[in-house]
Amino acid sequence: MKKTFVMIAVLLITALYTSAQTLSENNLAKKWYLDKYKVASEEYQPSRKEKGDYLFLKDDKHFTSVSEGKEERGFWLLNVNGKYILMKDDKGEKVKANILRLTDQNLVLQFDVDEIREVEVHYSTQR
Amino acid sequence: MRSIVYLVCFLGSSLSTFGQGEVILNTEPFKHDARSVYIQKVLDERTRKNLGWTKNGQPKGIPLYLYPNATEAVQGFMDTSFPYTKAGRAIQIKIWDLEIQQSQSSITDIKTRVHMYLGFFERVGNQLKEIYKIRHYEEEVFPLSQASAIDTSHEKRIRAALEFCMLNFINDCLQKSDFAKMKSLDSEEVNSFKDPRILDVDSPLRKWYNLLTVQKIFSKYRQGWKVTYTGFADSEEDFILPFTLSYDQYSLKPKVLERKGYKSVDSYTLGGGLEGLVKILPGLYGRLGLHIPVGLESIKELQNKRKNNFLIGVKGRQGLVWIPWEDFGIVIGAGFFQQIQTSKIYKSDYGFELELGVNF
Repeated sequence: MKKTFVMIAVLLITALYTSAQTLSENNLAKKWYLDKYKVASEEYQPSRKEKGDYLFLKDDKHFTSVSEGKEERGFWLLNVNGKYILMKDDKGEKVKANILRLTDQNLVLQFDVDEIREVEVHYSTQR
Repeated sequence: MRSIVYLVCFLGSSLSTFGQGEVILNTEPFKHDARSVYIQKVLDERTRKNLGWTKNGQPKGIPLYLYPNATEAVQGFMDTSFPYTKAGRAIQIKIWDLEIQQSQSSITDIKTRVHMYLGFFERVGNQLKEIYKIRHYEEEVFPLSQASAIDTSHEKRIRAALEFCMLNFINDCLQKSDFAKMKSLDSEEVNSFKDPRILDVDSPLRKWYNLLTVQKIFSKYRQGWKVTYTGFADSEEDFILPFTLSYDQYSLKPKVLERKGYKSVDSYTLGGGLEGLVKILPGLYGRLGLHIPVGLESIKELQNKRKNNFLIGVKGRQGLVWIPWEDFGIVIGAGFFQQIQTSKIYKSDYGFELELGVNF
């Protein structure tokens, strides 16, 4: 019985590590749907207004995002060594988002903004 | 046996990183589209060769250096992403500034950053021609509770700053030339990432001040003291709104007590409100305050009968505060005040106050 648990644990850890992706523009360039928020290990679901919000990082370095139904467009840049994405919208507003985790289907960002620095924003490729 | 070697290597690198204040730059390659460029030489032209100072448990602090030196560390980092190619375009980098800056940015956070100022050169005939320069700040904010993690994180920000500068160099400079087959960001994006701050403007890091002061007032009715904590980050802006918290304790002057017919009248109030600082000179601030003191007034009549009264008021302050030394020192202030309140004895008061304290 004990061995079975150990085996399952090893398999789970292996699965977790193998699904983690190398930080690259190719792996990031997807349409990421807002999935949930996490603050100090507490999870929160997006509000009704935020349903369907997404961040679309395109191959050509353009991005489109929808936040509370409001669309923004601009450009994005990956800094591999800093592990962050720098986004600049059409109005010239810049935001830095630290990449906490990237897998084939999930992306976790922490926005470098005073008011929401403690919040992990979880995205998924699935709506 | 191999594990012992690893352990010795780990201890060795730890000692060199922490004991001698050396930062070992990792060599994480990054993707770019300038395949035909390589960094021929890195020159460190800084007058001061260290990155800054770290406390690291040492009372006087220790200087931090890139290991083995900035030239080799940056060259090694660049070589992983821009290796030498025979047909490649040789670029030389001059380091004009590379330092760590750090300051408390709010009541709960510390902002740390790497300041980098690089020049990019290319040999044209016998001359070294400057083709690009960039100034960049790579910033990160840490909660005060995680301040111990800052020292080990400088290395990552230096790499991030180098990557940022190189990507901007490629996009802004090489893209404009006839550089062969370089697929890069379109020109609109290139401009979009040209932060006007990063080109030639130096941006000093804001200095956080903690002030703990005691004030003595000279007024028509009262005598006593007030202790105030003020926290603020100095900025380039002319007007700063700091965080303040104060407690005061006053009693009525003996002559006033005699005239009004009371044995004692004491007030205890907690202060809150807006206190704006107008920057006059570095270290010298004009103060304009509007406070709402809330507390208790304790009245003892001649017959020893005691009454308590809820106290709320509005207080205006105007004055000057001088902080002569940035890191630790004496704070001196003086100013006028006017107050109206719900006191049973005196509804208004005005006077002069002197302030003495420390900043830390």
